[in-house]
Amino acid sequence: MFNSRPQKFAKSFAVFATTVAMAGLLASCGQDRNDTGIEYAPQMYHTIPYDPYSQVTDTSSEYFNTNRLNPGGTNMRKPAANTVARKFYAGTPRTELAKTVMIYDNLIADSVELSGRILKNPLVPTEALLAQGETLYLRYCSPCHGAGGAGDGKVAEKYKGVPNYSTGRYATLPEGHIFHTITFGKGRMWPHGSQINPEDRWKIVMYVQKLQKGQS
Amino acid sequence: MSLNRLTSRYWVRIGAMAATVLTLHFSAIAQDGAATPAPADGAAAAAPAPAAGGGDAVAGEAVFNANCKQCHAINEQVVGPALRDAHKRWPSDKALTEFIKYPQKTIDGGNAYAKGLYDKYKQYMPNHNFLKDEEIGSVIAWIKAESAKPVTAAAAPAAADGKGGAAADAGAGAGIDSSFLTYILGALVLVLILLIAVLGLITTVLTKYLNNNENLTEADKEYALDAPNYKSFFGSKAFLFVVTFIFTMVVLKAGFDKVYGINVNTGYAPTQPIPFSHKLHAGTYEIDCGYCHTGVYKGKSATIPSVNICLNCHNAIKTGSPNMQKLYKAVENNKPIEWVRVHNLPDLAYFNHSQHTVVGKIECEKCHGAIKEMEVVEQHSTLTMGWCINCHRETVVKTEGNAYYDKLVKLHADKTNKPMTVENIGGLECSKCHY
Repeated sequence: MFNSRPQKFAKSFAVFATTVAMAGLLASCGQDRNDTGIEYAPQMYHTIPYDPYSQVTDTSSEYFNTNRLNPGGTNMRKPAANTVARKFYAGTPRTELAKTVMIYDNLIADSVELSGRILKNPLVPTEALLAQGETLYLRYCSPCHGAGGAGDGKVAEKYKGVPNYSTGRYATLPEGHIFHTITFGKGRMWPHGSQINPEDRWKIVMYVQKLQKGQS
Repeated sequence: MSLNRLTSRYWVRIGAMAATVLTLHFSAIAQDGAATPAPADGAAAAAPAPAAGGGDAVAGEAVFNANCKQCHAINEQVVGPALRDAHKRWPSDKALTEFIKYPQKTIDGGNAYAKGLYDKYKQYMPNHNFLKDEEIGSVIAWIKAESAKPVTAAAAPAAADGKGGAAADAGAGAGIDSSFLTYILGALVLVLILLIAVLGLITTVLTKYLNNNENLTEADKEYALDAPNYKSFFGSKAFLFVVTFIFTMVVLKAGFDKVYGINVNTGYAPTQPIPFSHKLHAGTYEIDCGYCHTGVYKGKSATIPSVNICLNCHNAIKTGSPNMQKLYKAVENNKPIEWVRVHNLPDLAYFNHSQHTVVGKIECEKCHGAIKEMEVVEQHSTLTMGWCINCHRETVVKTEGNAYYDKLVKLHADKTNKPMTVENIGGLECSKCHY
């Protein structure tokens, strides 16, 4: 009878510890961050036609809809070499811009000086276009070139060699040269033509020309 | 002597001990925290060394910072070679000036040293003929002045920068480092278990002592030695009711949560083929979401970036990392990296990114959460129909400067003076999202 207290203490402690351990185990069940959980009515959730980024990896699944014929299982294929986008090919182009796109498609990557001489911005500068140019500049260029074009963006601390727009030769570069550089890259800068369409590139050029004069 | 007093004195001592242990722990942490940034501070204070050389060199530094700094440094190779003692590598300042003005002409002209530079760096420096001879002369004067300084002193600012960065990184790491916290927690748990064991031992010893003690009064004996009556307590109806009630509630809550969680993937954070950190790219380096997710302002899908976008920077940054090798291999084999999609909207619902980002002017973070702080991206919102509808009810349409809405705004204003929400322009109609 006299030793009963420590024994009871040990017993209740054991019960307590087991409960805590069980609770921990139970709680950990719902913690798998790689699992999307239970799926209800999957027929309504998975696409039947090909869809970008639909991602069923199990080939035996009834929802597997990856295009097996295309390289890499992608839905789209690269156009055959020398294909010209139809909207720029036949009929009357809707805008002056569309007309000039034919020229851009035939630019040669290392002809930056030539582009500087022949390419002219088809857009007429307005306040609204400049504002759009600024937005696009901040999105695509400022990580390296800095908000004011001084080459002091956050990424430029790691990716050295970013020039200051408003000094030296950079201040006098013509608009065609800037357009060409965005499209094909130059020096350490890689091409950004795949990310920015020609119209947006010209808006950026418009804004960069402002930065070259030291205005921001 | 009563048992109460004995145990209470014991408690006080244990408490004091625990407090000492804790204080030791935390003071150690505090010292660590204070110690790391200290050297960086010291070095930074030493950084603005007195400029040696005449006014020429001072002007030269300004010209250097505006035109050369992007690709050159005195002591380290950046894009081009380090410029320490550059003037000694050329026969005369005039030849060096000519080279700076027309590098390609000099290299192609057959200058052996210039040709060697080109073979090493594989690119021409752009012509700097827009600089006046005096300006280039002042830069050379500045290079001479900098070269004359001993390497250690001159290198101090650069080293301090490096060290400062590392220290800041380490500091940030120590602040959040979870393994360190785990160690502390583990140590605390160990201390607590030890405490329990020691207390158990003490109780045993004291009980034994009291058992052998003949001088106790009956009241004391009853108080000290009688075990509490657990049986009647645990057997009581009230206890059983409370336990059953709590158990039922917990099971019900867990059940409902599970049912409501079907097809709701909040918190889903799959492991990606490359552990890409949004915290680093969007947070620290302030790269806009749209730089990589180029479709977000243009179309239905925000798009997952292709490898060429990664390579815009990673052609030069961290090229040795095994994860970057996956990028290079993807290009080599023309096989895309298969990122795991995080936000899986069911096929039965239509959602268009550009509609929300361009017309609705909604920030990415509104639905995707604090992406700039996520090491691994997780689904922040529930993406359920209730969640969509709720936002459509609350959100006021941004009609300013959008002529499309002019007539709608007028019609709406005729009926009520409440602001026009998405609901008012048909944002709750079934066919807007389901068709």
